[in-house]
Amino acid sequence: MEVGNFIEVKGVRVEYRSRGEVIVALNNVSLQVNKSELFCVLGPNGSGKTTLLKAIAGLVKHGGAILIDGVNALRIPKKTIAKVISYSSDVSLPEMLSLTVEEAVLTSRYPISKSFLESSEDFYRAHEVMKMLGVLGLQNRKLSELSAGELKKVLLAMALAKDPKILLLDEPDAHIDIKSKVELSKTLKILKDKVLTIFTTHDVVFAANTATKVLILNNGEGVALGSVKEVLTEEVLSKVYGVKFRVLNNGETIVPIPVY
Amino acid sequence: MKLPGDREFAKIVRIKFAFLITFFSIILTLSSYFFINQGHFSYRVNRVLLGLFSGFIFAYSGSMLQSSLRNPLADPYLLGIGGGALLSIYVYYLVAPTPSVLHVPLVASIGGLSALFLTILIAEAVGGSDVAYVLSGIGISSFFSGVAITLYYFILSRAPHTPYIYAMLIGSLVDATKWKVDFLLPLTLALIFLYFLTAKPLNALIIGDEYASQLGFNAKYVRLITAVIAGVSSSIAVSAIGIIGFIGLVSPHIARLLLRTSDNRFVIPLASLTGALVLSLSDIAAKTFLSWSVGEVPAGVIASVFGAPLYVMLILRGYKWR
Repeated sequence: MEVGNFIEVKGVRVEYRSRGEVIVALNNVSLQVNKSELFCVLGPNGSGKTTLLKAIAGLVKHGGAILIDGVNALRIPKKTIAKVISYSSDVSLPEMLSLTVEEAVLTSRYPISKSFLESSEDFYRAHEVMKMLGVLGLQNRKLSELSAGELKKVLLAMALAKDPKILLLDEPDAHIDIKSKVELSKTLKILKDKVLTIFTTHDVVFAANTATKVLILNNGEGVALGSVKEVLTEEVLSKVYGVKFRVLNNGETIVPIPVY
Repeated sequence: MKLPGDREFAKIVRIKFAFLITFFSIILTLSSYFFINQGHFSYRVNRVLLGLFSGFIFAYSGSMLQSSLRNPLADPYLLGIGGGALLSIYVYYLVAPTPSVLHVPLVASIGGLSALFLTILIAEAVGGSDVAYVLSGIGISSFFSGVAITLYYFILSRAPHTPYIYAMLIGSLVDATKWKVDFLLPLTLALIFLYFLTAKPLNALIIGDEYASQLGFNAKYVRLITAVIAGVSSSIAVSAIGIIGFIGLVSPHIARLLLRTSDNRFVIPLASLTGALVLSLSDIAAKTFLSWSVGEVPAGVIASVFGAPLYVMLILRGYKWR
């Protein structure tokens, strides 16, 4: 099964209905991501970043077309989608029912494991992923007991354990400390050749030093699309966020910063 | 393939699970054996089976509802299923010209499901928190039980010899007739089959609707199906032995505490077995402890006396963690 080498999003539109009013969350958004690209979606609050990820994951109804390897995603069987795509966002758990970290990571294998209980391969992969993300030490803790940052890492493990071809991460860098952020960036870069990744973030520095391609959304519409150098410019950022930006580059790290 | 990691938690759970299931089964078999061996053979067999199956069904429904609604305080009784089922049974006895026991489980299911969905509707309208569910459930449950008790007096005045109808107000195994066992046996088998289909989707649902959806489970569909399974099966159990409180609530938590996991593949079977054990022991206690002074009390009374304090403990624990 070799699905998930490239994604095309063509003129996607998503509407929500709230108290009789129609709210347009995404309007005519288009993009293309190939394997071995790290695609970042930036934009202010409410610009439609999360909705875009959900649309690609098939979790919200959308107009326009989303193609995976040239095939309309709606025509791909749900079971195949569940094996190929991981969508990871925040969760809130009821304390008294919470699973442990290990069990939660093992649930990620459900779409691909055929048996009722986990096979030793399922265990092996889950442990491998937990080790890679440095959360093996948390394996017996309950999900509800974790700090926000620890939970973010575990959520990434839960997204990766099923070996997806497409990884959709909603703010994977939220709540985590600076060292973890740098490590996350490195991990995503290592995974880049195996998994097509699209992530959202509010951190322009993280985006500038992690992504290979950036889309900026504003009010549900694509404002800029291109490489980091093309898009993360003082001009574009100032316009989108309504704050003056400076982009510093010391050759090692690109640092777009707002001027206070 | 060698597994990395020093302590494999999930493996320990499996070993514990196997041990506890065996241990509980042995206790159940022994207690059933001694109970049956006290005379009136066929009645006692029916009574033991009735206790086992209903306890199993209530606890099974409780575990399923807790995961499905992501609410640790969910329980067939607290969510109003018991009251709804009881009311519909009494209405049926009043309205039907020639009531037949074979219709009772069906009638009960309609009443129980209506009450459950009414509770869910009200709870979701006020925010859908754990507490909203319990408060809405208590409202529905009290109302339906209240109307049911009123109807009970009408039934009495019209047909004073309707057997054991009073026993349904608080669950009792006294009226252990064969048709009830004949209903509950296939139901229990069906539930065991359904467990294999729903345990994994329910695990995903505990984590979150979106998470479950991206694993390929339709979250709303899973929630609806499991609510209907729990609603119908516990209504049928109510139609057999009446309202039993707290077994459905407490058994899953006992299972989770013993296993130290919420994985439904282990919780549902152990909780169901715990429910069967608790109800059987309640019935034995109901028959023996007070028999020297007041005679036999309904098993539901014993279950409430021991279940309610455990319920309070659970609430206290839940709030301390918040």
